[in-house]
Amino acid sequence: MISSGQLFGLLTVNSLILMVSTNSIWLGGSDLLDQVISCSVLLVLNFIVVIPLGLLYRRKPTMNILDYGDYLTGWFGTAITFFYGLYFLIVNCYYLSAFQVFNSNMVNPEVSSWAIITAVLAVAIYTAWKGLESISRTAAFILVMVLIGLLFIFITVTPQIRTENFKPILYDGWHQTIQGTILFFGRSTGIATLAILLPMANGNKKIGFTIWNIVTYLLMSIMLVIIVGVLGNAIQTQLFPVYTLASMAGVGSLQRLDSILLVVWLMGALIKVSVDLYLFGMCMQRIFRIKWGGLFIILGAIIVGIVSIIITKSAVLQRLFFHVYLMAPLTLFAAFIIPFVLLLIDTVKCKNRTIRRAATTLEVKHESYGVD
Amino acid sequence: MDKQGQQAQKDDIPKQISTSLLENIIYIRKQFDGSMDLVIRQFNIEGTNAALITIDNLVDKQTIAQSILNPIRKANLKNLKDMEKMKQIRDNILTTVDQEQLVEFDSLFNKLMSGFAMFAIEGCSFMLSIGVQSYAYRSISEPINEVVQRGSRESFVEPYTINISMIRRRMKTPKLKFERMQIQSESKTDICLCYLRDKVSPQVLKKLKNNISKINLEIVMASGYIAPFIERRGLFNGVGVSERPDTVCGKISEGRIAIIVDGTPNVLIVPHLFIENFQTFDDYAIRPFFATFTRWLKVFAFFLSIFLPGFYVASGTFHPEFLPQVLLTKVLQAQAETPFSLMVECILIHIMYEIMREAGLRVPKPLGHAVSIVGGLVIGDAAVKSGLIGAPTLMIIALTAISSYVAPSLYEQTAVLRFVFIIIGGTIGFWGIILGFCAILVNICSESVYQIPFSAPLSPFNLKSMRDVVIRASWKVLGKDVEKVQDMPGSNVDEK
Repeated sequence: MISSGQLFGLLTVNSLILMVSTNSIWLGGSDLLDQVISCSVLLVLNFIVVIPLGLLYRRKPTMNILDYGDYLTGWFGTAITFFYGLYFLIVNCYYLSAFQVFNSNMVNPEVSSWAIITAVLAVAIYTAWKGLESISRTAAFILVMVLIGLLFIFITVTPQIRTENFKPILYDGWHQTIQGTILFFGRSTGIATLAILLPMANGNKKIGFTIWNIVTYLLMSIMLVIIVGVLGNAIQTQLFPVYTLASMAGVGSLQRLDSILLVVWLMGALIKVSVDLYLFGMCMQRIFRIKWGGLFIILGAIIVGIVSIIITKSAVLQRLFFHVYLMAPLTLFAAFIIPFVLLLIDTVKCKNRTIRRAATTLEVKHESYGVD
Repeated sequence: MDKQGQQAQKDDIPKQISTSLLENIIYIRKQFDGSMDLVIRQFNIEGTNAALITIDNLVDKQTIAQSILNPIRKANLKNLKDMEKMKQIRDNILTTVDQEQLVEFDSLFNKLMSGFAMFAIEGCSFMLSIGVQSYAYRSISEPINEVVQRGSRESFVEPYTINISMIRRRMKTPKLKFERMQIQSESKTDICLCYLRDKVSPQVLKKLKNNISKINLEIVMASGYIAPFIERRGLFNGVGVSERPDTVCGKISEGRIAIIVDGTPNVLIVPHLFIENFQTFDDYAIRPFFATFTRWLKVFAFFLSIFLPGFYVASGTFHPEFLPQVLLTKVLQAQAETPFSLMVECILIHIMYEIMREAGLRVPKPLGHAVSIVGGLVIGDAAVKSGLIGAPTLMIIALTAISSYVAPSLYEQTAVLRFVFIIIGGTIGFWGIILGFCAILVNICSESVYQIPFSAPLSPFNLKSMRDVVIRASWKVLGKDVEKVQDMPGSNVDEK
C-alpha cells in the first residue's frame, strides 16, 4: 500500500512529462496561448471524467477497475484487463517514441538511440520489478528534482518575456484549442492509472486528485504563457518549444540550462515507463493467473523498445501514432467509457438485487400473515 | 574437522555432570586432548577429593588463591558429608560474587573458556563456576575511524563486557537492557543485544533475534561476519556500525538495537536508514547552522565522489557543450597530449589510487611515508609530466578521492560505483549517468530495513523528521521529543 500523497506525486511526475513534451506540430500550430483555454477545459473535464470511477470506488473501495470487470461482466472482464494492458503498452510506446523524436531532433546525440532506449528500458524494468512502493518512493525524489529544475528554468527565462509576443487569444479561431484539448486529454493517462491504483492507496484521495489536477494544469498554463512570451513567433520553427526555452535560460555564469531539461525529461520518462510497465505486468498477471508478472514486465519492455524504435524511424508511423485520433479515443475508453459502463451495470444489478430482495421480503411477510 | 566428526563429538558429550569426580576429570581431559592450557588442580578437603579446573591465562591466579583456595583450606569442614561440604563452601566460604551452579557439560565448557574457574567435589552432581576472569586486552583508546572535534574520546574495545559498561555508564536507566545471546558455532561467540525496553519495537527485536538464531557459521571473529545475516540485500548497508559509545547511546535512545559482538570494537546498529550515513556525532555537538552546512556538504561530497569522474568522461567524450569553453580547451589540450581516451585514463588513475589506498592500509607503519612519496610524487607528478595522463583528469580523481572520505560509511559503495559511472559515462554519456543515478535511487527506495523504508523519512516524507535531516535544528527543538525509528512514515512495524 502507498499513501494518497505518493500516488498523486507519481501522477504529477507523469503529468510533467506531458508538459515538457509539448510539441508545436502535434498541437496543430504555433498559437500556444490558445492551449491555456485547453488546460482550463481539461481541468474541468477531468473532474467530470473521474466521476464514474469515483462512484465505483465509493461503492467498493477495495476493488479496482479490473476487479469490477471480472465481478460484473464475468469472462468479459478478461477482455477489459487485456484492453488496459494494451493501453498502457501503447502509452509507453507513445512516450518513449516522443522521447526519441526529441533526442534525435533536438539533442542529436553521438550515442546510438538503441543504446539509450536499451538503458532506459533496463532501468525501467528494474524499477517496475521492484513494485509500486519503490516506484512511488523514487517518484517522490524525482518530483522534487523535476519541479526544482522546471521552476529554475521558468524563473530564469521570465525576464525575457516580451508583451508584444502575446497575440489575442483565439485570434485564429477555435481550431487549435480543440486540437490541444483532444491532444492533452489523449496523452493524460492519469485517470486510467487511477482506475487500477486507487484501491492500493491510503488517505484522502479527493483532496489528492483536486490538488494534482489543479497543479498539473496550472503549471502547464504558466509554462505555455512563458513559452509564448519568450519565443513569440519563433515557436513556429521550434519542434519542442520547452527545450528551446531551456536553451535560452541562464543566469550569470550558469548558461546552457538545456541539460536540466534533459534530466527532467529522462527522469520523468523513466517513471512514466516504469509505472506503465508495472501496470502492464499487473494486467497480464491477472489474465494468465500467475503469481507475479515480472516476466511480462520484461516482455512488455522488449515490445515497447522495438515498437518505439520502429515508430521513430518511420515518418508515416509517426504521423499515425502521434495523431490525436489514436490516443484520445483510447484514453476516453480507459478513463471514462469503461468505468461508466461498469457503473451502469453495477447500478442495474444492484437495483435488480434490491427488487429481488424486496420481493422475497414481501413474500415472507405474506406467508407469515397467512400463518397468523 | 568435518561435520560428521563434529556431530560425533557433540553426541559424545554426556549432558549431565557425573557424581564421580574422577570420571568428570577424565572426560574433560579427553575433550581437551592434552591441550596445554587446561589446568586441573586436584586437592583434598578433609578427606574428600576436590578439583579446580581453569584455562591458563584466562584467569587471575591471585584471585583464585585469595578468594577460592585459601578460604577453602582454612574452613572447618570436618564431619560433613561430600554434598554438605560443597553446599557449605558455596553458601558460606567462597567470597567471589559471580557464582553459578552447573549441571551440564555444555555450559561448563562454555564458562570454562570464558575465564571461569570450575570447582568440583567428589560425590557432587554439579560444579560451581566461579568468576575469576582476567585476560589481557587492549585498553580504551581514541576512536580511529569516527574522529570528532567535540565529544568523548573513548571508543569500544574488544571484550564486550567492557563495551557494555561503557554504554551503561552513559545511560543510567533500568530500562536499558542487555541481552546475551550466543552464536552456535565452533567459536561460540557471545553477542549482546542492547536496547531501551520502552523505546524498542518488539517486532523488530523479535525479527532480529530470529535472524541471529539462524546464523550458521563455523567461526565468528568480527561483527562483519554476522552483519549479512541481519541486514537487507541492497547495495547500501542496512546495518550501522559505530566504534563510539556515545553514538550507540544516541541510536538506542531512538528505538534502535545495538549488537555488541565479543572480540570486536565495532558495534552494529539496526535498523539503519540511508540518511544516517550523513549524520555524525559532531553534528549534535556543534552549532546548528554549521551542522546543517556540513550535512549538506557531506551529501554534496557523496554525489561528487560517485558522479564527478563519470560526468567528466561523459562531457569530454559526448557533451563538450556542458563544459565552459575555457575548461573545455584545457581538457582538450591535456587530452591531445595523452595516449589514452578519457575513460581509460580515468579508470587507470582510479585503479592506481585504489591500489595505493589499499597498500596504505596494509603497509607496516614505518613504510607508510615511503608509500605516500611513491604515490604522490612518482605516480602523480611523474605521470602527468611524462604525458601519460592529463592534469585535469588527475585533479578530478584527487577531488573525488577526497570527497569519498566525507561520508566514510559509504566508501565501499562509492569506490565501486565510481568505476561503474566512468564506464557508463564513456559509453552512453549523460543519459547513462542520469539513468544510473535513477537506478541507485530505485535501489535505495525499494528496500526496507526491518519493515522500515530505507529511504525514510525523505520518501515516504515526514515533515517533522526534517528537523534532523534537511537541517539540524537546535537542541531546544530536538529535545522536545525523540522520534523513534519505527515511527518513520511508511513503516510497517506493529507496535504491539
